[in-house]
Amino acid sequence: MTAVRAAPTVVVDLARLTFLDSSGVHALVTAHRTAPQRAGRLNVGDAGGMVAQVLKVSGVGERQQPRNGGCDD
Amino acid sequence: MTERAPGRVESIVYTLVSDLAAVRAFVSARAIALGLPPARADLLTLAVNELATNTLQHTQEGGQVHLWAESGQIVCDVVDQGPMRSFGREMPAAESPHGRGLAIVELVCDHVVAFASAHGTVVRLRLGLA
Repeated sequence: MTAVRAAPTVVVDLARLTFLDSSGVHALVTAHRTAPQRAGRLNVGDAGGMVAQVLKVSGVGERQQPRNGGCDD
Repeated sequence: MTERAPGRVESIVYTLVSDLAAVRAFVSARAIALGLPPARADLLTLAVNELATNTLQHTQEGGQVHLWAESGQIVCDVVDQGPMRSFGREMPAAESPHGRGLAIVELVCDHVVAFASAHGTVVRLRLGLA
């Protein structure tokens, strides 16, 4: 959240993340909501394994993009 | 409903947030040792982590995790002194900041039920081994 407040574009690379729970989803959702309020962007990508699955079942998976992609909303 | 299978039951106790890493390691290692594929063990670990986090957010006493195999399934009880959990809720909207924990538990396990026992509130998770 500090990063979202400080920079116009924040990239969250999940490639090496091996565990994500609802607290982590909460943090990503909160950052995603905060960024546009500050005319910023949050790019989240490269989730794999259980991390991608958690994002998918949480209903936020569509905000994920494949490698070399990025979501700009 | 409350009696456990006569097979070998492995257990771990948690009372602090700093215990959760050990709980996750325990669930993952035991579930894999009992034959659950690692990707499915990750999901069980996630579910237990959500429930144990819930315990620590809402109670002072901590809780216990009991895990065993029976009838081609991994069965895992998370027991605490917290309120009865209710399942069957919709996943909150993507923009919603709260309320995903129990919905995630239900989605990643094959079967989830909550019931009261002499030891407290039990959430029993099942994942098929096949």
